[in-house]
Amino acid sequence: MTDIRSLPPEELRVLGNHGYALATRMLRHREDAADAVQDAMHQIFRKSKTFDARRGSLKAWFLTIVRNRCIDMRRRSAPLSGNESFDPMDEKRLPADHINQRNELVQQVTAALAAMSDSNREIILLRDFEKLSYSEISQVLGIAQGTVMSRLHRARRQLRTDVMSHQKPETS
Amino acid sequence: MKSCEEINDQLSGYLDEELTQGDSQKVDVHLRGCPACQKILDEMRLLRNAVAGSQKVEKLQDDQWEKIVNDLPSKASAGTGWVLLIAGVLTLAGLGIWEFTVADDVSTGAKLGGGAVGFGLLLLFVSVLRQRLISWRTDKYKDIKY
Repeated sequence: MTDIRSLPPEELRVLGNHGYALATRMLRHREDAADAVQDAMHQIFRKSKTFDARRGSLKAWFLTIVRNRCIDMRRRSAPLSGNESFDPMDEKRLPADHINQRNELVQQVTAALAAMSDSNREIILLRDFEKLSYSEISQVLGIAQGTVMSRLHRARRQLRTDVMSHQKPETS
Repeated sequence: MKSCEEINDQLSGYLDEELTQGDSQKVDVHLRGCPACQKILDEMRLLRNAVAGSQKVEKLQDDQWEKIVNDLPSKASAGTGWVLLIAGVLTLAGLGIWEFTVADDVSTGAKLGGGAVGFGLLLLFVSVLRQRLISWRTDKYKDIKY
């Protein structure tokens, strides 16, 4: 069993960053996201004895708590505190050289993801960005593993349709 | 051999290596003889990599992380503090009410007045508690576990 309290600070921070990335996407507000991570950290420390690595990874457990905390914060505080003009998907936030390095496909994917429903975007990012397994996604979203597969498939199909419809026809 | 439609439904799981060995082999067999499904798989792989590169990795700043780590003990002690505070206030209030009730040097009128105030406060508390319970019962997010 993983003893959360004895985790090295670096590992704890990596975990915190995973939670922060998820929270910023959900809350679109950095301070609120940091608060959500702080609350989630507090929860995993408080309930560290209930964590069982055989039932899922620590990362999945932590992200589940962060996600639920974000849902709770979104529900309780509408509009979000300060209404910070922040959008993780917003191209303008990125450094100019970063944008220049991006190829056209990545930009199209970014735009397609931004236009997607929250649930479709969420499952794609949990898999392809957070690199969670289907079992971990099932834990985070609280749905059956089979549902993860079908929902992810539908979301990817929509992404593919959206992006490929904007692709220039190949000239060969 | 499975149809293209059946294979299409499994391509996502195949790409992520989440299919059972049997299903994975069936998709393998189909893909060898179907350039159209192979093209879809290639596009899905391309998109998967593009998704990973489409997001800026948001990381906690040093000062944010310090705050989180430093506040963990204080958050934990805050819960214990509230419990102790409430227990102490309730004990003192109970003792006060008992002393007030049995005191010989307080007139019956004052006791009745004090009792009415105390009873009124209790009713108000029960009323608020009832409203909170009703709102909790109708809260569709109440099953969310932290």
